[in-house]
Amino acid sequence: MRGRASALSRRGALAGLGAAPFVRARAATMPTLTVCGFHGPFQKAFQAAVIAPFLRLHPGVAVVYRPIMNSAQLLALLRLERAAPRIDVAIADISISILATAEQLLAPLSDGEVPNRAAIPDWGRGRNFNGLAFSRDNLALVYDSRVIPAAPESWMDLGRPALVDQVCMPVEDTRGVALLPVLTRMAGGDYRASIDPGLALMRRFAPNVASWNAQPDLYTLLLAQTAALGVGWNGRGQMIGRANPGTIRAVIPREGSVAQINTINLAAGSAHAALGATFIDHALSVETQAAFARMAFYGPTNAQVVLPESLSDGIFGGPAVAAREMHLDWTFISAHYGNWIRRIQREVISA
Amino acid sequence: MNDHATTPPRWLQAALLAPGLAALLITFVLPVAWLARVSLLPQAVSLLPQAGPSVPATGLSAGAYARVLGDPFYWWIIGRTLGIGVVTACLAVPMAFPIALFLARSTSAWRGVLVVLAIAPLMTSTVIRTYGWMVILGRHGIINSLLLQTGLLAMPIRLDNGLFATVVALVEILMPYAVISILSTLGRVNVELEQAAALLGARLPQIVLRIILPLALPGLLTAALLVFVLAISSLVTPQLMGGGRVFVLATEIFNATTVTLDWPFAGALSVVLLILFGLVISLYQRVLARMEAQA
Amino acid sequence: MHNPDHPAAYLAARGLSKRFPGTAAPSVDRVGFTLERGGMLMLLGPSGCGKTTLLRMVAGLVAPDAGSLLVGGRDMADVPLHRRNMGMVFQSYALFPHLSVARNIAFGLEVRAVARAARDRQVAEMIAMMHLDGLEDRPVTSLSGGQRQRVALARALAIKPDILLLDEPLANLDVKLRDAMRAEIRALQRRLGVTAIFVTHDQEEALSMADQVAVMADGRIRQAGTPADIYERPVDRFVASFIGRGNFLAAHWQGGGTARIDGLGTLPIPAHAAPWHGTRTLLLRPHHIHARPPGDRDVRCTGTVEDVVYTGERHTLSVRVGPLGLTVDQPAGTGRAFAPGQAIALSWSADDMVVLDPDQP
Repeated sequence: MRGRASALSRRGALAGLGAAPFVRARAATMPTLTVCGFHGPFQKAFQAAVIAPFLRLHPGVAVVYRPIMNSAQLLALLRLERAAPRIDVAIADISISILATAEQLLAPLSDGEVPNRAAIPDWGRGRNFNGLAFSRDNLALVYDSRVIPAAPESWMDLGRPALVDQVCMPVEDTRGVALLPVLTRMAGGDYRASIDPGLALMRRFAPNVASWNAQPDLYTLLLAQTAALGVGWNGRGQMIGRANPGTIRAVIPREGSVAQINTINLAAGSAHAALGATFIDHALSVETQAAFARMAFYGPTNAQVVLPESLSDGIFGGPAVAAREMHLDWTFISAHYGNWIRRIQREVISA
Repeated sequence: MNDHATTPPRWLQAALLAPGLAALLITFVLPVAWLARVSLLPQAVSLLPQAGPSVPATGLSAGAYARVLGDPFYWWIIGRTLGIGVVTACLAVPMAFPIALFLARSTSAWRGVLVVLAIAPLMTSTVIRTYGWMVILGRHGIINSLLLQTGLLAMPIRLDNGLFATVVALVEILMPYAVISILSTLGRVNVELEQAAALLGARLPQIVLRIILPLALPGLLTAALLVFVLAISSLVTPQLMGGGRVFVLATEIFNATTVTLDWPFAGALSVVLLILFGLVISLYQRVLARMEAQA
Repeated sequence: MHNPDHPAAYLAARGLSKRFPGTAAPSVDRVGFTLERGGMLMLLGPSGCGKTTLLRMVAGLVAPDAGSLLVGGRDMADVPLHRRNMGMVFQSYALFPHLSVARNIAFGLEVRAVARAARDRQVAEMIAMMHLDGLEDRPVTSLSGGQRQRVALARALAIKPDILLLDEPLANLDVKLRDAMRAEIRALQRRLGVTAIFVTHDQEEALSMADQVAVMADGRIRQAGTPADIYERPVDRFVASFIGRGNFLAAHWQGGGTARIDGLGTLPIPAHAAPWHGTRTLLLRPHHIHARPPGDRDVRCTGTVEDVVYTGERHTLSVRVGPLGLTVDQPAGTGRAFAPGQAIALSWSADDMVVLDPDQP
């Protein structure tokens, strides 16, 4: 989720930031927890599936959702408010969680404070980040089923000759950084050694690309029939597909995909640390995780969650997807993030 | 020396200037100073996790500038940014001039409506405008459909998502600024000069070329400068219309700030952009001074 | 083609009208006039009377709502500005500020694509004629008011216009320069034989320069004629008071060549005056009244001097006659001096009195 957002949603996020202090003032009489997370469909699902039940369980508490446009903005806010944090709980891409932990912006969480921590697998409670994995998503092919009736199966479909000027590859952000290791492996390489094979494959798709941009986003271009196929996120693609039946679909290609992990974190120095930990525990409970998965098509992180087959099939953690899972060393990738994006700009887009 | 009666006392002058200066200090000087400071931070702050627990580093480093100026890619981006600014100004000002002339000299009852229409692009949101251009320039857009139907094209060509679309959209969005700027200049050109020229036997093109253009030239220059500056600093239009292909200083600043989180680098790019502004504005003032000296 | 109404007229306006949007009364209301070739018409009137609008309609700068304009028998309605061949001198001069004196004067010739040699010759001629020698390459912005005036005139005349239009061209000059320019413009206009219309609000200018004067008020021409006609035989009180000063006397027809005048009693009036009913106004110009020693047999009335104003050329006396106050001009240097409080006897010729038309609504 570390990427660009459309101008429209950015404006929404700014409006949300502006409104936050007023909401805070109104609720000043009771303990108020400020949760910072992504704007848009994520926010909608999070409020319905996580915050609303929490408020029913804790009637004396208020929760304010402060929407941000991406994880990078969250990092900026945490840094700015280091002395007096106004954020208590923060949702962030795992790479940002690693960075923020290194900068001592996030508080560690123990099993005592967050009992559901025990149900999170090892990859979701790493040594180098203080937060806990909250949801997972996959890089996917998102396509317009009106133009491409048969579901694409391979990343190589991005280079299909029939799709000249109809592909959207927003690779100037996390999507590109996540796609490079997949393509590199497809070409028989290892991303830790060199991403050259991945860049070469990306270049092969270039003639098909209508837009390399995250703005207007892939989903908009698909709905406007400017693009027919693109690289997107599985959860978001499925959600938008559900909202616009018969248009957009997301599929995980057979060569495998990369997981993108969102973590839930307690801000260091939060005035409501205990309440924040309680909230995080609630967010990681079996019921909440299942509800959020149903609503937003994000894969749960609590290992005890069992989803109906119809749902689990298409999302992270389900057997079909798990078989194609490719585990990435996000610490390594974070370190090369900027460099990879610069190489994509120069060696693929400008080539 | 000023006439004593017309010069307000010093304290009043200071008091009148204070709010403006304060606003300028808060909204311009401080951010620029902060930007310059950030641009001089060592790159290490840019958040490499292996560095372990780190606090924002202090100390100065010209590393970010070295990375900008030592990289031909960024020279290419600077050149392209300037090129887009020049082309946009060269298209927008000549296109705005006849519109402004018509509006300035119209006596129609609809003049007010027409002025509003001329600046209407300013009143629509960028997103709506972008969709408008998709409809016109897109693969299934009006232009492609027309060219395909008339048989001039066998395959649709890409007009959207690129440099062409970016310049087209920049011209559209910046033309109203040029129209307003030229309109105010033409308002200061005495209509009687045009009437005198006509009675002396000049036709409209001769009046425009021999009277209006020379007199409006400083205003046209100002309009061109305005369009140029707005074009080279615009972010959203290259982002939305460029299809991710149009790298300009503004998009790279945005990227470094929000995607790669390389703030010193973003700061250095911003300072480069500021320096470009300064150079262009001083060039403009020199040209204007020369024109005034000749007149 | 000729105009049946005015066979000899070169310039003929008929029924010209203009009402600007948003104004209640028309600026120009059914105005007609004619002008011989080479003649000079002064349009005279107070500000706002419509004289400039009328001039601009002739120039083609304002489209008339109704009426027609013929020049040499040709209807000018559809003739565009650049083909009207009219030279105009604007009140603001409207010189092109970015061009030199010579380029200003040459402008009309340049846009007509007059050959370079002919153009240069004509510009040089104009420069000499307007005494602008040595200023050819100066920017017009560096000139004095009088010099600008000459450049404007030279520029208008350089195209050898059929008609020269002057919109209060002297209004921005000081008094001395104005008098000199009046004579110069008049002489030039005669010499070049150009038909001219000259707008002014200055009655002295009108009387001293014109072949024909048209006095305008409220968008209409009240009276047109020679300067002498207008001055000596104004048709109504507006014209009489706008041009020169006058004593206005309320009179009732008595028959037998006399009228009963309020405040003066029964007195002889001009022999040819047509009878009227009710009250009419008689005009008696101050210079037509003569001061007499008391007892003279020609005395019309007696009164008391209230005030004396000396202007160098004359004494202007304010004389109280019963309920009336009369203004009397006495040429200076006659050796006769009057002082306030002195008794005075006045006389005039009955034929110097003018019976004015009733005031227009």
